[in-house]
Amino acid sequence: MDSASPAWLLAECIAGNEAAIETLIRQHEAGVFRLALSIVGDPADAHEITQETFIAALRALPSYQERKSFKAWLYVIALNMGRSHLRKRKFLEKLKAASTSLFRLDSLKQTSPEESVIHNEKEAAIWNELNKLDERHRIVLILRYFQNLSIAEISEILDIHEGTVHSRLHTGRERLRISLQELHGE
Amino acid sequence: MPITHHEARHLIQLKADNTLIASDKEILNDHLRDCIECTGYANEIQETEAILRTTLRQHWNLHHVPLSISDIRANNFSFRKWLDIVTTRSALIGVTLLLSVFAFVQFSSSPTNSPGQLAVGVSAIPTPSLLFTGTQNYFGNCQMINYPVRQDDTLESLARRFMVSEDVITEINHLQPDVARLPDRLLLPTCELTPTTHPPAFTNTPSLEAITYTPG
Repeated sequence: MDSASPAWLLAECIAGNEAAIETLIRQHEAGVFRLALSIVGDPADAHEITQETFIAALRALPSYQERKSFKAWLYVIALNMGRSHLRKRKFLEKLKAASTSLFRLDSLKQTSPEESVIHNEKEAAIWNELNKLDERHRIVLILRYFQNLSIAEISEILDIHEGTVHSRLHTGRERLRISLQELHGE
Repeated sequence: MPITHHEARHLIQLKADNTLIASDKEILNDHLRDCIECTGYANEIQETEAILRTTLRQHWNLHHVPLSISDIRANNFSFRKWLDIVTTRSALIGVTLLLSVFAFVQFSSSPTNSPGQLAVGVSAIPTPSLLFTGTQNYFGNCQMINYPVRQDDTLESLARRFMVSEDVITEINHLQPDVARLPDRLLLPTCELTPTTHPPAFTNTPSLEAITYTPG
């Protein structure tokens, strides 16, 4: 149980108290949105995932057990929603690619928002390397450095041992550090 | 207590995770005081962390639009899920339809097929109709012999010998159905005598029931 969402607040939410539900949502929506955004990369999709996460969480709240902190439990739902959304998007992208090739249409090249954001080459190197990492290593770095979560919280959310979190963070950081060193070496 | 560079780097990583215990912190600091190499490594890790934080914030620190509580309260999740499934299925059905239309256009534009004719299942070997529609049609590709009629020949005996029906002989030779005397010569089909070339035997055609091979 975390201090931000005490048992009485959750009980009020289950009972349908609108003020309690609003309090709970306002407490966590920014964090859930950031997490969703870091998974899907699109603000509109992230907003949708955030909304779906709270809808699902409120429905499942009676079955919530205090083995995990509420925040960790909520983030697990958001992660699953994000992953499901990505799978759906990949499917639709494949579909789009298939229909494009079928009709021999040239899709317009869209400028990635990242291209316009990155000015600093060190940041570009870190960003590129982060995107090259597999999901297991990328997600722990995001949860640690974007969500500012502790090792214990990451371990709860991903349902892995704290030692595994350390090991993945170590590997991820090393990869990013080396990419920076390679930049210095050029 | 002296530690190796490898152990020092491990402690630097734990420090980055905020899980370094006080006693290890002292050991690490002692090592870093004398080791330029590990100090450099610690600085690199710190720089990596700082740039990573900035990069992630630059990319993703967009302000979200606060959620509408009434939307969430009123939202019928099962309906949304159902809608979700329907839209996904619709996409699949759409692609299937698209492919069907594509296949139809491909087949119908083929010059060898007449419009409306289904191209699938067309056999390379011409198969005669199961219904006996005419002698000429059926025996059109069949070799005929100009048979000199003998005195003891009858329509029935010739039919049996050439394994065709009496009606076929009558029709090929334009004989009257109730002919009393056979002409001197008759055109007789030999298809049934050469089994390697004749069309498949029809046992379900009433008009050809007579054409059955009876050994002996």
